[in-house]
Amino acid sequence: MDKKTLSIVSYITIIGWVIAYVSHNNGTEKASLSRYHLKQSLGVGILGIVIGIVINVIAFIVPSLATILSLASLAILVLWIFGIINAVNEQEKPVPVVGAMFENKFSFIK
Amino acid sequence: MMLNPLQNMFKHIIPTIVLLLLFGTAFPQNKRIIDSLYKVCNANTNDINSLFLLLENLRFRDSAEYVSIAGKGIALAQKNTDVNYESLFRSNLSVMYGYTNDKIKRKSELNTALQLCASGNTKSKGHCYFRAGDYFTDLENGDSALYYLLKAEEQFDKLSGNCLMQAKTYQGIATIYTNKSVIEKQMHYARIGYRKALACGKTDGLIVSMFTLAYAYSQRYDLNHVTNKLDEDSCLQLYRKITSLKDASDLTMNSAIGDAYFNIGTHYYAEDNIKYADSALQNFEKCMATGNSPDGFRTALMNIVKARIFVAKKQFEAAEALIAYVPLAYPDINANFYLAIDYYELKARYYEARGNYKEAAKNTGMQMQFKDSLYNIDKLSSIKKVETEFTNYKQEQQLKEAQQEITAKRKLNYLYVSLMILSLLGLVFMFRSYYFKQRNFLKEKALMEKEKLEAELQARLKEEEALNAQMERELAEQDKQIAIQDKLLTEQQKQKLQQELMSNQLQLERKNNFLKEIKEKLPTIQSPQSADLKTINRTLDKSLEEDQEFELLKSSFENTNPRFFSVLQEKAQASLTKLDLKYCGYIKMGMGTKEIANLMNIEPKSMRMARYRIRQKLNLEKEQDLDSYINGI
Repeated sequence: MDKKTLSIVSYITIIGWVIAYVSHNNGTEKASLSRYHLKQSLGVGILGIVIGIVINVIAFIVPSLATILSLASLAILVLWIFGIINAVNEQEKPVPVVGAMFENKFSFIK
Repeated sequence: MMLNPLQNMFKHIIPTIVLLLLFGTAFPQNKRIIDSLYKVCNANTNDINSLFLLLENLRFRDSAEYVSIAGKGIALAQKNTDVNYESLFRSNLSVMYGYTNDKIKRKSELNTALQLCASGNTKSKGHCYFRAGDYFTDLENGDSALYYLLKAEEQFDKLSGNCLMQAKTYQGIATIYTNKSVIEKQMHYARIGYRKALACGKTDGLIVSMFTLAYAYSQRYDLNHVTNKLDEDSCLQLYRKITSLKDASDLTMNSAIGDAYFNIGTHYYAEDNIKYADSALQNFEKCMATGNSPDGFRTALMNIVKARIFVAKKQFEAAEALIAYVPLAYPDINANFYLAIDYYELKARYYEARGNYKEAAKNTGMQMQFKDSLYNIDKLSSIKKVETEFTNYKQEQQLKEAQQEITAKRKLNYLYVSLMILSLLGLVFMFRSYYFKQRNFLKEKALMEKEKLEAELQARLKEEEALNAQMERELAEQDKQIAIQDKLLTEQQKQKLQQELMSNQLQLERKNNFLKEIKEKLPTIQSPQSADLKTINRTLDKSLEEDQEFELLKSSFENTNPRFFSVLQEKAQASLTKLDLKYCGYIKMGMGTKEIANLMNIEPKSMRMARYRIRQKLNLEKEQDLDSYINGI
């Protein structure tokens, strides 16, 4: 699939990311756009899991704060949507706030 | 005394009787029916209907028998998984436990029955709810009782033929409203009960409903003797109607007729009015004629009233006999406060009438004691009432508060929900704007790049144009130069040609001279062949003629180089003659003075003079050479 579709699919849950990754590896032309967005979506996904764990732990210890902190998962959603918009516009722009972290991290995505 | 003792009696006897009826102790044990039913049940152990009929005819006070029959019925019903009969048996058993004051068992049987009848038919539901209402009435939980009794009413409405139970249900509801002192509702339900009992048609139900309605009338009459005057008559009328039913075929509540007579009697003597004493006594006789009451209460009370009448009539022996009889009829008289009050009041009257004031005083004292206890009981109950009202009020307040809290919370919920929706919408718009901004940004970038390219192309275009222009200019210049060079070349060529011409002319001149010399020398030569000589001479002349022609041509040389002559004339201020011009032309061609002289057939001296003249005309200096000067033009 072309690079725009690939980068969009990489944002759609873990399964989408796996599909996009496999397609990227098996494809002939490895566009830098798809590589970039694969990295970004993986970063956002990992961040989502981490935040989920943190919120659960805090909910276990201090139940009252949990409802407020669960808004953080909304933030993950927001990041995700930003990422998708960047992918749709075929821009290699990082996701706000945390995107800069993921730009050079995952070197196994070539 | 505040209260007329008989009125007091009257006030309280009816609920007692009614409650007794409710308990069903009004059923006399009809021995024959029971025996026949026993035979049927023993013959057919699976006949659950007869078993139930048998149970209904047994008296509650025969508890052991009751429990055993009920147990059999329950076992049979469970074997057949008959929910209806099981619940019926259990509910009746609970009533019996109520009679024996076994509260725990009563409650458990009732609960089981209620659970069972939830899936049962209308009859079993009606029975169970009725018993539950009964139970709560005994617990003085008016609201729960009301709830269950109304449910029972609902069920009995759907049935037909359960007249007695239906009437009892309405009676129960009316009683609750009596306890709550809500007379309108009491009247309302009593009336409904009566109407329904009339429609239903069974005597027992009719009797119960009539008692209920009569009691309601009497209560209303008690509230206000003046405005509700007619209620007294309505009440009595109903009692009379009850007594008229004494010959009904399906009557089983025999003591009810007696109760009706009794009530009429007590009513006649309620005001201690001696005028109606005889009517009262008559009714009492009729009452006694119907048979004994189930317990001694009615007998005792009747005897008290009768004794009171006899005392008023001053028939003291009869009165004394009756006074002595009362404790026999009702042994534990001190346990029943109402009875005790009336009894002691009667005795006081008797002794007073007899003149035994000491005894009278003693009995009055006893009466007062019991009245105090009653008053205390009353006070306690009214305190309780107030307390319950207060708790009710508090609960209502709490309920209102809770409801307000709920509505407030709901409003808050709506607020939260709307906030969430707004924030979601805000998020959505934010994303849209971000997306479109990016798109616009990209588009603008593309546009800018295009413009840059265009500008670049245009610049390059201009450059190339400039280059082109320059090249063209260069080319033009080169052309110019070429033209100049060409011109020069042609000029040079021309000059060359002129010089060639001049030299050729010179050469020709020389040849001509040579020929001339030859011609001159010819005559000197004497030769025999004068013809040959003549031909040679002729050839020579021809050549000389040709030369002259050539001369003319050369003079026309002026035309080939006009400029030379014009410049010359200019320099000489138009003073040069044609000959002078010729001279100059020959000089320009490069011919020397002598040659020119030969050509023009003039003396070299005149040639030199001509030159001198030309020099003067041209204003030349002494140093300037004419030849070089002319060649220089």
